[in-house]
This record gives sequence, structure tokens and C-alpha cells, in this order.
Amino acid sequence: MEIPDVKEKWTSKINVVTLGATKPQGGTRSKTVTVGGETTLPFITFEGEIPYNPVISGFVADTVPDWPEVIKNAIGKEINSPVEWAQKSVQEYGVDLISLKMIGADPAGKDASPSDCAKVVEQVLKAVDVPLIIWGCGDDEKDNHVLPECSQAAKGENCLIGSAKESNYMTIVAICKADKHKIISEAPVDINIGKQVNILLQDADFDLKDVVMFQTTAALGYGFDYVYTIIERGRIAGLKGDNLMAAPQICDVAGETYRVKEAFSDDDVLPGWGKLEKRGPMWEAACAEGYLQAGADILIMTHPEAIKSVQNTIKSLM
Amino acid sequence: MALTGMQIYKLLPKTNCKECGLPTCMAFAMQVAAKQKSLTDCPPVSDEAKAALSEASTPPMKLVKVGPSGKQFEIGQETVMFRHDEKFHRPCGIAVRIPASLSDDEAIAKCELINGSVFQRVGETLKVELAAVEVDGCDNPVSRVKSIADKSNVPLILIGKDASIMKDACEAVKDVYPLIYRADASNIDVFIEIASSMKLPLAVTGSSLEELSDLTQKAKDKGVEDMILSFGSEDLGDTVRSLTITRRASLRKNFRPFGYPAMVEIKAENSNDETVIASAFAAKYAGIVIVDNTEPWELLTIMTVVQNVYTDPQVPNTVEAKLYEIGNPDENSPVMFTTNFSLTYFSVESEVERSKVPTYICVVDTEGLGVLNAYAGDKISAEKVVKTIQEQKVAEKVKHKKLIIPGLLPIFRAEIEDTSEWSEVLIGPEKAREIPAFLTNTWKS
Repeated sequence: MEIPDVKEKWTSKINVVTLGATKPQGGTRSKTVTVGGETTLPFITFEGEIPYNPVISGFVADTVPDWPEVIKNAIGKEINSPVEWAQKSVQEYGVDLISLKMIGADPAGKDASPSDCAKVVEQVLKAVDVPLIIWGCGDDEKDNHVLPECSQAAKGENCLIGSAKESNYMTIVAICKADKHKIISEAPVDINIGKQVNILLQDADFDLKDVVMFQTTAALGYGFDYVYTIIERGRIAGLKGDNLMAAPQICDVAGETYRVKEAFSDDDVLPGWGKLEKRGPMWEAACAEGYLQAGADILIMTHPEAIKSVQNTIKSLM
Repeated sequence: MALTGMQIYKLLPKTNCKECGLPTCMAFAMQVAAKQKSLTDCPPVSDEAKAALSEASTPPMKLVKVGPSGKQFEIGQETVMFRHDEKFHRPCGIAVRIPASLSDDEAIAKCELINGSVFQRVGETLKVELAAVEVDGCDNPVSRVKSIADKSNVPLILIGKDASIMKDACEAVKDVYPLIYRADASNIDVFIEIASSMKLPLAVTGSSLEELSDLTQKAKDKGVEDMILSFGSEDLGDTVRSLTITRRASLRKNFRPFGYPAMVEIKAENSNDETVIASAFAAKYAGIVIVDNTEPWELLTIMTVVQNVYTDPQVPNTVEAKLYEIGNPDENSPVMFTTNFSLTYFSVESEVERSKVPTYICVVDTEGLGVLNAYAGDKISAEKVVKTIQEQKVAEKVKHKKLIIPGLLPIFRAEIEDTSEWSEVLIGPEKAREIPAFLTNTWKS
């Protein structure tokens, strides 16, 4: 029987964003990573194009995150050194790029200095040849000092710098323009603020074609449904011609997952829910897979088992 | 797909005879569209019009029930492609396979594991909804399905391609209304006969979408009413696309051969991959996923994806406004309050658990709004907080007078201190994730 034609006619496409710069491009990366360019919903290739696969970025931090021991053990001793952690992520886990977060800069924590953070950036850039995503610690005031030095240390490498919010976007725009980086625009699980931040970036004369959107990530079970829908609506808006929402989207799955009890507490606290050794990485993987279905382009992940399973599905989905 | 008033009007005699009690056929059509009148209220209406309207008022995707009455699993009657367009209605059910390769004792043991796979998460009960028994290759398929039917708390799927084995198996357990799977082009005639004679739901698979539509149409013509479209997991992209096409054809084009819920039988290399693949299809657009593993870490993960995706996006999720005791708090433990928006509450709860500091969390009814929205919308005030804490008799639980308030509401401090026995108000962090540091540092000092 003839099947009715159910193709959608999308009018626009998601922006193509390339990260990293090779030697001829003014950097030192041996390869670049490109995301975006879709003219259709995730994996719906019968009505549009998906020129680039979604990518996985390995989570690396300057300081060991306060994750459960079994999760840290799965990564191994390399977690103690951002350089070794980044190398292991690229060489063993096969991640496409590295996401480096300056947790240690947090004034409530180790309060590492901006120059210490910049050193970490330099070392990681030397240790791996993939593009870099660089995040501050999340404290706006501190990040206003940390990110300029980190950006400077990676000048010309075409990194993705996170993140520009309503409160701090001017600083981020200035450093990214000066050092030739791209921007993550961040909004707190609110699609309207997400759009507003992009308007601010545009008004500050930053090209939205150099922006990746971060709608904030929620762990599975803790607002996942909100973020899932915002990512999906963002993609649809972008495909329907809303230039302010046409940026590729990034999710920090690793950064959020290991804070929630299902991925933090073992079966002594949660009897009958299975060993954390397995439950943790699957909580991360299922969350990432969900966002992939909603339209995420870059997934920041950490656990080798979680990364592997999501990599397997990406291959089979494309 | 419901008809508009104008479409209904075209089906009417257009004589304005007023026999329906309304002045014009147009007025009557409008009331039928609004479901305030029925077409039968129009005595002269033609049979063709009745048939057209009845066809149009049938939901585009059928509701399919599996299992005996009283413990049926219901799936289908979905209305939208995206949850933000309305909501997804009937949560995807997990079915766990009982392979033919298992011995009878092992099969019973697996059935018991399925029965026991029940979890309480954020106030809801999550469970495996179906047991999927493979019949082809069993030494004695009839005794296998009978023993599982006796033991199982959940409805059954019978998996097999051999028509004569399936017929005997269905005959043996037809009183528990199993779902018959998998009918395909090679066995469709006998499977149709089994399903229609025993009134059982039938899961159909095709080598292409065209073939699938031919098979479901054929089954429908021969009296099979309840069907499931089933797909494999060998090529995930292909399955996502097939699920999307069949759902769109049904919901948007009212294409009846695809007007049924969908099922994906997952075959993965390992349990990790199985978990991730099932999670993908739970979000898009399977009504049933069949998996192998019964490990709680896998099932709970997939169930939570289902729980989240099937949440009604138009209704704020709330938790009961009461006093929650986290980690056996005592008379010296901290007391804090937050809103009854479930996302806020569970974030706070999770961080308190992470801190390992036993704590009382007093939840104020803010009609499902988070802290700032509740404040902006006048759903929370210092007065309301004081009243709630009194009602929840928090003061009887502790011997101190310290109350931790959300960092986003510092303005409440003075009023609470002035108007209640909580004479020392501590302004807590703005973000939930800062709670552990606050409890271990600020509170303890």
C-alpha cells in the first residue's frame, strides 16, 4: 500500500560551527570538529540532511570532582591530572574533543588563581590534539578573571568558551573576539532567556554563527523532561527559520549526573536499585541518549562505559 | 481526527428542518463539533454521513489492551509528535524476554524477577509491564506459557513465528489475553486467524513500511481489531525513522493501517547498549520495548526516562506539602524550607542526601512554582512559611531556633524572626548544589 507522504518542509538550517584550529588556521590542533548544519530533526534523514554526527566531548576538570569513588575509580588515577585525564579520554575513550572545567577556581572551594587555570589550559592543549571547550567555575565574578586568562592561553585555538549568561556576556564576547574563540550561550532551563542571551550576543556584535547554545543540563529524573523539551523546541524553532535559535546545542551530562542520588548513592543507601558501579554510568548514558534524541549536538560525558554505549548508538543512528 | 463544524455541516441534509431542536443545520453542526449534540439527534441524516462521522471520530491511533481485565496494560491513543504540543498519554511499557533457551525452572525464576521488578521513585510506582515469553524452540511451549501465565503478575507477550506452535500456545492461555508477536508476511494468514478467533491483540512486523501497511490492512479486513506495529533494533536510525513515519502517518494523515501503537524488540550486544537503546525508543516513539535484562540498574534507568518523557508538561509537578525527614534527623538537626515544585524539592532533597547531614525539609505549598516564581506570583510569603512550619509542628522536633531559608528569599528573614519562634534565620545558598557545602561548613560552625 502506498504510504502517505509525511515529510516536513523545514525552511532553514542549524548553524555549522567548527571548533579547533590546525596549524594553517593559526592553532596547533591536528583536527577540527564540526557540528550543526542539520536541515531536519535528529536522525530523520528522509526529509533533510545531517551533515555532521553528534559528538562526545570528554569531561575533564582541573580538580578532581566530588564524584562517588566508584565513578572516579572507573576513570582511574588519571582523574588526578587534567593532562592525563584528557589524554586517556582521547586515546582510550575515543572522544571527539575535550571539555575542560575549572572547578578548582571556585572561591568556595580551592579558589585556584586565574594564572593556575591558564596553565592547565596550556598543558592540556599540549597534551591532546583535539579541540577544547573551556568552562569557568560557574561563579560569575571569579570567571570574569579566570576566563580571560584561559582564553589568552588558548589564543588562536578556536576553542568554545563557556559560558555567556545575561550577567556576564560582555566579558565573554570581548575575550572571544580578541582571541578568536566561540561562545557557549547559557540560559537557566528557560527557552525565552536562551533566546534573550543570543539577542544580547548579537547586539554586542558577536556573530551568532559562532555560538553554541547551552540550555543548562538536568540529570535524568531531575528536570530532564524540561531540558529535553527545550532542546527539541529549540531545534524546531531553528529549522523553522528563527535565526536566534539556530545554534547547535550542548549538554553537560557528566557535570550534572553524578550529583543526583541515583548516580551518587550505592545500594546500601538505595537497596534494591542495583550497584552504583553500573547504575551511575547508565544514568549518565540514558540521559545523554535522551538529549541526543531531542537534538543535542555536543554531549559532555565522562564514564567510559557510558561513552562507549552512546558512541555505539550514534553509529547505528546515523 | 475530529471534524470541524464546517466539515460536519457538509454531511447534513442542509434543510434547516429544526427536528434537532436547533434553528439551522449550521448551528447543529457546530454543536456536534463541540460534542454537545450527537449526529443521532438529526433524524433525517444519511447512513453515509453517520459512517463518515464515526470514522472521523475514531482516534487516529487505537488504544490497545493486553492482558486480562483488572490487570490490563493499555497503550496507544497518542495524539501528538512532540510532548510540548500537548503531552504523551500512555507511558511506554517495558517487557522482559523469557528466552526459549531457559529451562522451565530458569523461566519461572526469570518470571519471578519480573514480578519483583517494582520500584518506588519520587512517589510513583514503576514496574515491568509485560513478560515476553519465547515459544519457538521450547521443549514444551504449551506447558511453558501455562506455567508463566500462572506465575506472572503482568500480562504476557508470546513471541514466535511458527504458526502451529503459536496456535497451541494461544489456545492454552487465551483467557489471559496475551499479545501475539510476531506476525509477518510468512505467517500472517494463520496469525490473523488465531487473533481474530480468540480476540487477541496482534503485533505485526514487515520487511518494509509498505508491506507492514498491507499486513495490518489485511488483518483488519479479517476482523483483527487490536494491533501493534513492531520493529527491530538492528539499525537504530532506520527504526527511529520508521517509528516517526508511522506515527506521523497515523496522527497527521489519519492513515488507518498505521493507526496503532508501536513496539521495539531490542537485541543488543550487552546490557549497557540495551539500556541506552531502550532509553532512546522510550523517548521516541515506542509504546513497548522488549529487553532481556532484569538488573535494577537497567530497568530503573529506562523507567525513569519513561517517567520523565511522559510527564504532562502543562501541569507543574508537585510534592506533598509536608515535613520531610532526610537521613533520620534529630533534635539538633538543621531545618530548612523549600517549595512544593517537585523539581525544586527533589534537587534540594538530593543535595541534602549528598551532604550526609540529616535534615528536616519543610515543604510549603506554592502551587507547584519554584522559589522565584512563587515569590513573584505571590504564592509564598514569610507569613505563609511561618504558618506552614507551625502546622507541620517542626518546633516540636528540634530544640534549637534556627531556620535555613532559600538564598533567593533573604527578604523573609526579618519578618520570620519577628513573627515566629524561629529567632535565628540563616540565609542558605541560592543554588541547591551549594547546599552540601553550606550544611557541612556554615551550619556546623
